[in-house]
Amino acid sequence: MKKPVQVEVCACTRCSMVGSMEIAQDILLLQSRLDDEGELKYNIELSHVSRPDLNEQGYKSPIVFVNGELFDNADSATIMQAVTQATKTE
Amino acid sequence: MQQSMQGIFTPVTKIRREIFAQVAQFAYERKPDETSHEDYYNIPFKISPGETPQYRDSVFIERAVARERVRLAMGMDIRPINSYVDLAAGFNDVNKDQTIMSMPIVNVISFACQACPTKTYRVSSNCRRCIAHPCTSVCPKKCIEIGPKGAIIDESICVRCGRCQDACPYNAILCFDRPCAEACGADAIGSDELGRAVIDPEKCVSCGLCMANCPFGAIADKSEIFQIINAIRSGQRVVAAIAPAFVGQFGPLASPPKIFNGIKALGFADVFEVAIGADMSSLHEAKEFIELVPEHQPFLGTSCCTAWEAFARRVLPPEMASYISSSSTPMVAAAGIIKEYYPDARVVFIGPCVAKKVESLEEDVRPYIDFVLTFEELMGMFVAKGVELSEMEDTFESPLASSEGRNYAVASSVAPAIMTCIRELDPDRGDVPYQHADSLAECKKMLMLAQRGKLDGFLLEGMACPGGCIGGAGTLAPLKQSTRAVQKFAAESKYSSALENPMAHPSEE
Repeated sequence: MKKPVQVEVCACTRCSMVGSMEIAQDILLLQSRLDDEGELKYNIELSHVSRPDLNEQGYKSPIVFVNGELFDNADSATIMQAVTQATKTE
Repeated sequence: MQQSMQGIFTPVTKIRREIFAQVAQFAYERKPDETSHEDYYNIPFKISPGETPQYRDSVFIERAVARERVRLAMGMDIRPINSYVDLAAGFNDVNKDQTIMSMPIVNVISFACQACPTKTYRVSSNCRRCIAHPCTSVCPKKCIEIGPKGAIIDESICVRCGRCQDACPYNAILCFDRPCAEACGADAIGSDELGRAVIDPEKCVSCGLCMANCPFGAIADKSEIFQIINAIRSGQRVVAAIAPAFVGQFGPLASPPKIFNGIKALGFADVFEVAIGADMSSLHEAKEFIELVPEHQPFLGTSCCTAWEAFARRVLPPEMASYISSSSTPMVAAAGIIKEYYPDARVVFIGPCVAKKVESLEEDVRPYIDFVLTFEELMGMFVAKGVELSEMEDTFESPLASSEGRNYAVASSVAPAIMTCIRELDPDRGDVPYQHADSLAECKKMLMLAQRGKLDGFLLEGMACPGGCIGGAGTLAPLKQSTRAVQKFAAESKYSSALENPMAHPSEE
């Protein structure tokens, strides 16, 4: 089993309004698809955080961290790409 | 059946929600004696800032569409496209602290509509020009011929039955329909002289699914955000009645008590679960069923879904229209309880549903419901007011609803809740057969069967939105996620059914 990829999705009110829930759902879907691939054992650890302070610092919602790297104005495509990249390098 | 966009976050979803948040922020920050409309004029520039378009060919078109959306979000009508009307025209008429809602609720912004082609079948490059070509064999109009590159459909003869599509072994025949029309189970979408979508007010039941499924964001509904915030700011006692589908709508960190406290942080005086009204409806409809079926009528249709009820009354022949329950909807029943607690309350129904905006205009509903808000609109208010739900207190005291009442939000849960009451109130009756349908297309099939006498003795549960209320046009969360959240919250109630809930039958206390 490879080292898990840590995905933290901000679920503050603003991030939830502009799509962070859907990004989280897509990550779960990706996890289940990767599980289905059998021999390739990826492990994604998804958690929710609340970081409204980042909006005040100028970051745009939705905000997601992948292995600690911050992605703002995120969408599913960007995060899925970052996650799949991380699963390859871990 | 075309894939629905409902529950998928898209740029159209984002624009819609940003407009609600901007209108709410405008309403919260506007000084009562302000006469300038500058902040109001600036809202479209906040939606589409700069000079580079984000979604359409031109930033000017983006702002033009946003302007009409802002007008609708303020409760105004769309402006005519062929004469000058100021963006603020009618502002004073909507700058009220009471409802100004008027029909039509759901509107097509005609210049945003891309005049998508109406239903048509086309042959794709998947066609192998096979020897069997079953498409030609099954076509009842014989309008398909096999050309040098594949099958050719003569659209002037085609009756759009879809048999060729079903028969093709290579899935080479595709059905195109305009997404708004595909989503509309009431067949209410027509075309104007330029081929753009037009909503037939005689057929529309205001479910809002056309709006949720238009990929160009050309359909929008009117909102009461501005008037509700005005009512709160004017010091009135504004109380929220929140529909059972609310659980899980505002993010994974927003538990039901946090949502209730968040609503209070917006300035609402109190929050009640509409699921209590659902308990009352279950009991009432159970008694109605016992009294009427089969002696006086062959079946009983549920009444909680406004769009289904309106649709059923139109589809069924007049003599059968009364077979739909006359019970108050859970929204009205819950508002009745709120008015007992707070006789001076202005009640705001908060739910997933656009059709409730129409119901609130009915003469017998007006004394109970002052305003209607969707979850998306409420989320806009949270963002505008800076209410961080995850930081709210996680406890809240309010009257409880039963598990079955809370489950009303999920399709195929209403009839079982009523049947629990029937079993208890009339134990000799035995099991009552029931059927449920979600989506108006499925509802229509069920009603046709009922009309032909195939469902005599049945309890019929109809829901206009696929998946039930959790699939409503004003929701934020994906369907599966909502189902899990609603069912988990329902399981936490100490009352299993309406029968156990003293709030459901207060006269017997």
